[in-house]
Amino acid sequence: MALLEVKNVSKKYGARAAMDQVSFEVEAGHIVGLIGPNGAGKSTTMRAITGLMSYSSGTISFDGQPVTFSNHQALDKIGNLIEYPSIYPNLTALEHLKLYAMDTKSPADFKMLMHKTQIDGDNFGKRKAKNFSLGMKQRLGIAIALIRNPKLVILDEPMNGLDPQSVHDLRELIRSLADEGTAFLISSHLLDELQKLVDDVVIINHGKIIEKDTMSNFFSHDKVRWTVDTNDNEAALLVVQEHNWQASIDDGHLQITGAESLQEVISAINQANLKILTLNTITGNLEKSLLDMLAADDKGE
Amino acid sequence: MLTLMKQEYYKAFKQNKLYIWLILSFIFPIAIIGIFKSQRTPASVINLGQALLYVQMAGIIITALSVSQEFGFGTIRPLLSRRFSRGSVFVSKLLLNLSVYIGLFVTAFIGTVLAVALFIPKYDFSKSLGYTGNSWQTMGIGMLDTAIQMIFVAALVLMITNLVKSSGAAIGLGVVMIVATPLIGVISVKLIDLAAIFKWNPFNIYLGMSNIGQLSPQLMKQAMHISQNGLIVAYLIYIALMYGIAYLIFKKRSV
Repeated sequence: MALLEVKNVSKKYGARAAMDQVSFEVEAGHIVGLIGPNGAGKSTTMRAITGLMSYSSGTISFDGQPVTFSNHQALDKIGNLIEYPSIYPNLTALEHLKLYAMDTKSPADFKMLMHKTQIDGDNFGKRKAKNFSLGMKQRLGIAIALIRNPKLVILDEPMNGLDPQSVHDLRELIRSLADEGTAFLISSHLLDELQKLVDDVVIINHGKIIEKDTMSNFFSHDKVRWTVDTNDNEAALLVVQEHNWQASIDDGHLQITGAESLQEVISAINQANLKILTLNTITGNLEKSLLDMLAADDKGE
Repeated sequence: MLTLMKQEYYKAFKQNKLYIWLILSFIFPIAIIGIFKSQRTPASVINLGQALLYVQMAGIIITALSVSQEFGFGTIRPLLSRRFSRGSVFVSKLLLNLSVYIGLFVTAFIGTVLAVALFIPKYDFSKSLGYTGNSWQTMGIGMLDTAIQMIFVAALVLMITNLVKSSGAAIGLGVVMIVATPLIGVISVKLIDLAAIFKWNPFNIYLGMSNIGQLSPQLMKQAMHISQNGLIVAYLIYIALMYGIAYLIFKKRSV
């Protein structure tokens, strides 16, 4: 059984559906990326899962227990950082952890957590949170999400305000916790980072899930594409299309997808007595895949 | 509930510097009675060296901040996305506020007794001050009256804070309720002049309850157009209504 099960959840604001029959699951130890444009329903979904918002229909269960606006028993083992870090300005980082650790009998080790989330440096110490930079607040918000040793951690844009080194370290931390069995549901607009991190993707647009799959399967849709320049790209386009591969000329370059292998492409062009001048292989790209998918969804395909 | 209370106290002391409010409550009567010789009178002593006003103000501000800060800092989300029900969270805040009021009264009372011992050593607390009894009894009634007013104003402040998620408007209204009694009295009288039913307006009830114990029941009826028992019942209804509305807003709000 999945750790988190979201089944046919809908939420309407007047006539607008913020969530429309949203269904997906998160398994223990999996990192799931919840991806979509602004206003797609990512934060709304996260807020519904954490009991911060009521929903009109459907069910949400965590570890076999229902989660609703008024039933919060299951939330004991869910940590979250939604939208922006929730910080008391006059408390230090350690005081924040002490405050939130009161919720549980078995909190994470303060020192270790502070070290892992990099809030143990001189910059933190006795400084009050009101003097923290955005990145420092973000790291503290992540530490707060982890303080109760949760089974599921929900992170909404966790890389906001972090420098490249901190983003790398956060990725390592999430990966190591996932390896120990912690599940993550993460939304981010930094798709390159998500691509390096997540096991599964759930794509949401206009409150609807339009795709959910493992990351590897997700890329099998557009897997690999090739950018080719020949001595006659127009003629090469006709040749490629004869093989029923998808092809187009963009910015003067021949773009090919759908062939089984690069060798197939080269053979087909060579057999037509065309000369290949340059050839680039482009592997799957989350950003492009997402944009293609959203464009298709918006067109109603 | 114990966990929630511990967290509320932790926040009150670390974030809102509750100890400073309590220290000021202690110092206030000592400073007033010590500095101003004109305040070394029974009238000042029974008002805890005028600290009752401070206690009311501090109580109102702390009540408003206890809710509005959570919305302002965004900490309402971690607060409500835990295993605790919203009802428990709301009650923990009420209990914190109630205990803060008691703390403010106690420290102001100790400060007053110390101030009297230091600056009016010959003051006789057992001397009768009239209808309300001696100084101890009158101080007790004064504190009770203030507490009754505070509970009413705090309910109003809590309701407004939950409605607008900002402490500014709520504190402003609370301050008006405390310091602008004559203005409230005028509004109340005008309302009653319009129609007798308006004798039940909240301002009239508030003003009546502010004087309970200090006026005889007959005088109370003459002044407020409502019997003492009627006032108490109406007061309790208003309190229940305002806390009820505040709770419903808190319970239903998506954050």
